[in-house]
Amino acid sequence: MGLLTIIRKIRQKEKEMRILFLGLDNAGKTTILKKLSGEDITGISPTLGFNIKTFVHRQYTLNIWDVGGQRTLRPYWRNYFEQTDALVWVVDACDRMRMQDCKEELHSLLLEDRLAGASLLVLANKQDLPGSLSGPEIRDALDLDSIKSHHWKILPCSAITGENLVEGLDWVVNDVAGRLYYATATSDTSSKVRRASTSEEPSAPQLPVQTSAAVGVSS
Amino acid sequence: MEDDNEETKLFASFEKYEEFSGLQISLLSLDLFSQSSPEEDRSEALMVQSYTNILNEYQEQAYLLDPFLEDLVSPVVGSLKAFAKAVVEKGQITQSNERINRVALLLYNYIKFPRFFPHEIADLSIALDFISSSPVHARENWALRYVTLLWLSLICMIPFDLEQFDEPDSLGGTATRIEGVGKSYLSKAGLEREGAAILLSRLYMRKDMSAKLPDFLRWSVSSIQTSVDPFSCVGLLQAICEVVKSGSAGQVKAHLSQLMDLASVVEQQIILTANTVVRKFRIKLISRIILRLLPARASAARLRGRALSADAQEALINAADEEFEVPDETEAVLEELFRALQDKDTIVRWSAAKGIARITERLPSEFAGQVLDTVIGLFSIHSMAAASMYDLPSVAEGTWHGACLACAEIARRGLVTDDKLSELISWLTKALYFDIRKGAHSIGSNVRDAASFVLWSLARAQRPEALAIHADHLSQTLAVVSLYDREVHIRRAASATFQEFVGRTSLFPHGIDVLRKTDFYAVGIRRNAYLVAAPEVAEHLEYRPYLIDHLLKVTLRHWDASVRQLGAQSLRGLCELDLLNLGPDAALRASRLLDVPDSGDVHGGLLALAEIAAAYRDYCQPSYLHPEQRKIFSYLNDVSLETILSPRHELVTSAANILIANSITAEETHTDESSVPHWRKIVDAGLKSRSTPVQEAAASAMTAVSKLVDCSAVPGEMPIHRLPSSYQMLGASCLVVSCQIIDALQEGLGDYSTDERGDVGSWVRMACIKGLTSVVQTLAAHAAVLPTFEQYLPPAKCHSAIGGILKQGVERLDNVRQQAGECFTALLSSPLPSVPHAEHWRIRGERLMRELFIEHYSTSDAKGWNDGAWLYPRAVKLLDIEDYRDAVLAGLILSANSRTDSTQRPVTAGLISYAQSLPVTSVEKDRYDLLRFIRDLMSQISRNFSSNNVVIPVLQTFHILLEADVFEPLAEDDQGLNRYCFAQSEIFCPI
Ligand SMILES: Nc1nc2c(ncn2[C@@H]2O[C@H](COP(=O)(O)OP(=O)(O)O)[C@@H](O)[C@H]2O)c(=O)[nH]1
Ligand SMILES: [Mg+2]
Repeated sequence: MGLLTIIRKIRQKEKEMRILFLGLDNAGKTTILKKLSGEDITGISPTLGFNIKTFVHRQYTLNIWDVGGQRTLRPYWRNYFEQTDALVWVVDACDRMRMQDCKEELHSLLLEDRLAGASLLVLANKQDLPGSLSGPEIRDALDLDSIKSHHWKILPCSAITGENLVEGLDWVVNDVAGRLYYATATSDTSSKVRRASTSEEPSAPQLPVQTSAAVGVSS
Repeated sequence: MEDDNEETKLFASFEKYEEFSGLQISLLSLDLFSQSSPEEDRSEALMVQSYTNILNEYQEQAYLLDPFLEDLVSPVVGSLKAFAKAVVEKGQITQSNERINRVALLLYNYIKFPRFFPHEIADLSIALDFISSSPVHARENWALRYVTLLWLSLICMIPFDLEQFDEPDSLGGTATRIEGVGKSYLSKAGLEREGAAILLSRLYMRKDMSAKLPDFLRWSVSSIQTSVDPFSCVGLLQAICEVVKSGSAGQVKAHLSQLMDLASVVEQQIILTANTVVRKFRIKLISRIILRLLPARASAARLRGRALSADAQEALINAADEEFEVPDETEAVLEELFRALQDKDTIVRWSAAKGIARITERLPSEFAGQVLDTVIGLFSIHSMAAASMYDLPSVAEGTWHGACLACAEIARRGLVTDDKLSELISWLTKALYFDIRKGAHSIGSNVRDAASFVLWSLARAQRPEALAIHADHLSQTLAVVSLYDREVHIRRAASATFQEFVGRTSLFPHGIDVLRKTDFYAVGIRRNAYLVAAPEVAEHLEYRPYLIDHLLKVTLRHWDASVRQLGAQSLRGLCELDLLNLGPDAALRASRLLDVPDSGDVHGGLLALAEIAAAYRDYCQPSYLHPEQRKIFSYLNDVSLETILSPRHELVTSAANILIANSITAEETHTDESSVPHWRKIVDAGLKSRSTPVQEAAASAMTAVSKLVDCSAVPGEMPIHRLPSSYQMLGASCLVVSCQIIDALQEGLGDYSTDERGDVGSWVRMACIKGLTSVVQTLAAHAAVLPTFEQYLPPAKCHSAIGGILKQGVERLDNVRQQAGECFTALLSSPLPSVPHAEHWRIRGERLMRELFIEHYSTSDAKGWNDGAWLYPRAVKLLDIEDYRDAVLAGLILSANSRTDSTQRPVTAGLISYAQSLPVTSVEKDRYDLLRFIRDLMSQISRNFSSNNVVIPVLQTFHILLEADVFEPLAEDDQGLNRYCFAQSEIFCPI
């Protein structure tokens, strides 16, 4: 069993998800992630390349890749060893000038093989600023309705106030879990944090009569 | 296979659901009790095959099936149940077992996937009766037995009173029956054993059955002691492992000593411990026992992750630490696990590694630190005596691999404290290169892979600040491995690890840029990694010296000659980044490999020197030779001539010749000035070698020598006084050689072989056509300065070469003809050698030739020799020229018999009309006549009598000519008639 197989297995076992944060530069990707991890959000310098941050959400481990916005950086986030489960596309809702660019970039990105099946969350960021475009306006500007290849959702948000950030990721996690971890996701959809899975006593079999059961056959 | 770029296809959803469930519906709709006809049987088997194929496609992404699984499984289970009911309750009998076994196979497939299996208490008696019915017992129905055992095991998981199924007079009978079924399958060699182990474990995990566990353990101990059957031992261990893992901790604590006893009883049976699977389960058992004795804790790795919201973060942290006693057994078990970590089988090492890490996670931090120390200590066990890692004994492989796996499992749980990092990383950077040579191959790629696994885990789990001081060293080492490991999966593992470090720590110098150059694809093909990616990475000075170092220390000395070769080329690529600074040192270091007993090292060193010399050659103007090149040439002295000339060292001979080819300078060609006086012997030996690559290498050395002579002939570029002696040199060593080359090339024209690569012969022939042409031209051009030109290129050899080229020019293959035509025309236009009697070298029939092929050629619309319709009417006239006649005739005959229409037709038409134009006899020199034509055809036969490849075409040619009444005029001539009849008799009665 080589490393590449191990990576795949660990992912499945630890219920990991790989989430890409992409969008034009200055959209607010890094700020959103800093806000989520409770870091200081003043004085963020542009991201060169990428940074990976890990979050724990419910029983899932989220590996979030914050990728620099420049088009030329695309090769760096292509990870051939792990598949990408979700794409969070961050939009600067005040940047009307580049909305066309933003749309083209997003649509061309969705053609990538390695993103097949990934969930798409569009964050219309900077809602705290006056003059920002609303969620529905961005939805039209980016022609989201034409996207049939991916599950998608759009949410207005602000990295400054924190509005809708956790809600957005919660949607992402649910959508990905419904696909990747269907068996466990359907039996636990509550969003409260469970005890870490290893800390549980393996529960004695207590299944309702007349129902489906998971059978572990491998040891 | 080695360098593949295969990626498993990624699916977005279970696209083939419709097709898949369609197949299933068809299979389920069959009457399971009736016998299928042979045709039905075949088509049903095909359906199962397509069904399995679809499942296999989704193997890597099984989760995509999950949402459908419930809908898919239910009808299959329903079908199985209905069948079981009919058998058990109505006593219905099947005609054949095929169909029900197929249904069982469907279920078996689902069970491999995450798994839904509807079941209810009421099924218990059906399942229990069914399992002893005849369809289940049929030998081939293993899948049916397996799924029925699982079905029972699922029912056993439902909390209800088993006694409610008992007959009033035998309480506990149901439990005993289930136990009996389980035990009876527990020692089977097949999959049933696994099903039985699961059934029994589920049974003993029940509250109302836990009292029976001690009995089962006793029974297990005694059956291990009485029969040393590995299968039954594996079955027992599997069942008990499952109970220990998933049963209650109270159960484990209560029976602790019995469980430990069982483990030691197994250990005492040598026959059992010789079995890998037994060892694996035993290791699982003891590590799980300890695990259940220790309190569970939140994983440290999880604690490193942040929760998305503040209150959730709070809860994460609170789940941490409290005080407890470590049970006494822990230490002894860990000792065993450390030993198992070095087991000779990988699967045992894996189990031990996981066990150690899981236990460590639950230990107090001080104790955990000691565990890690012990694991790290394993690296040094075999290293004490060894001078370098490459001298380790081969058992070290298991130890290093196990140690890496355990470290990785510990590391990814976030259990490596900062103070251990230095020692750990210093071992890992050695493990990344682990490669123990064993004769013509080596072992250790799994160690290298596991070393990447540890580092990948560290990148994820450690704080970047703690890794900072190691970042440079790690970045260099990982870059080296991702570029230069021999195995593609190791290169890719290192590349993945590099990426993880870049993304998690941002500590690697130029990380982003290097990552782009060494990504999954870039390192996927060895050639690309060595020759393209490596020089790109080496543009960064942070990496360059380490890459060069690795090439010189490891790659050039690799056991695989093709790796040495690519390594040498890669070294050239790196040196070329800054040749004047890097070249001399690299060459000097490469030269140190020449003076060692290992012929592989010598080979690597010579290749490296040859490549560096080539770099200088390309760097300088052609007329100017860098002094370094001379120095490189002189390193050839460091290899003993004996080594080079030994027939066992073909690679060395060849490399030495390449080195000569790339580094020889004009000075070296003077006997008295040469720093390597014996170089000619090396070239000579190469030319005489039986191996083609060696010959080619020697030929390239020859070419280099002759080029040296060429450019020095150009006045002004070389001191003129050097000239005569250069040619003397050439004379001394090359006279024989020149004729040898011509002969070899001539022989090559006769190569008509084909193999799996295609028509290899035609490539060889084309190469020889070109070769002959250039030899003739080159020699002729230098005729004036060659003292004995006629010995270099005797006129007879020259004309026979031209004849050979012409023969190729009239043969079947368009591209060969074209090549020959171009070469021939070039020769036709070349000046005569400037020597006395130059006429001897003049192409025969030159005027006719020019008329046919040069003047016509330029006026007609650019048709060439590849165009049969254009060529053959002209080519037949070549028969007029006596000196080339035999050759041309042989070629034409072959073509006349070819099955290629575009050749065959113009040839025969051409031959016929040419023959019709011939007089019966002629006395002019270059004028053919019918009589001689017949005689020549005849002699083609008599010279090749045993070769049907010649005889049949000649007969065919006769046939064509006779049909066209070409020989009619002979009838009027006495001599002609004789010849004609004689020809016939000679053909048919050859003696
Ligand atoms: N007012 C406001 N400014 C924001 C918001 N999100 C990001 N910014 C600012 O936008 C700029 C670019 O943010 P950054 O996170 O570096 O964008 P990135 O290139 O997408 O990573 C920074 O000056 C942020 O302070 C937001 O929600 N509201
Ligand atoms: Mg950024």
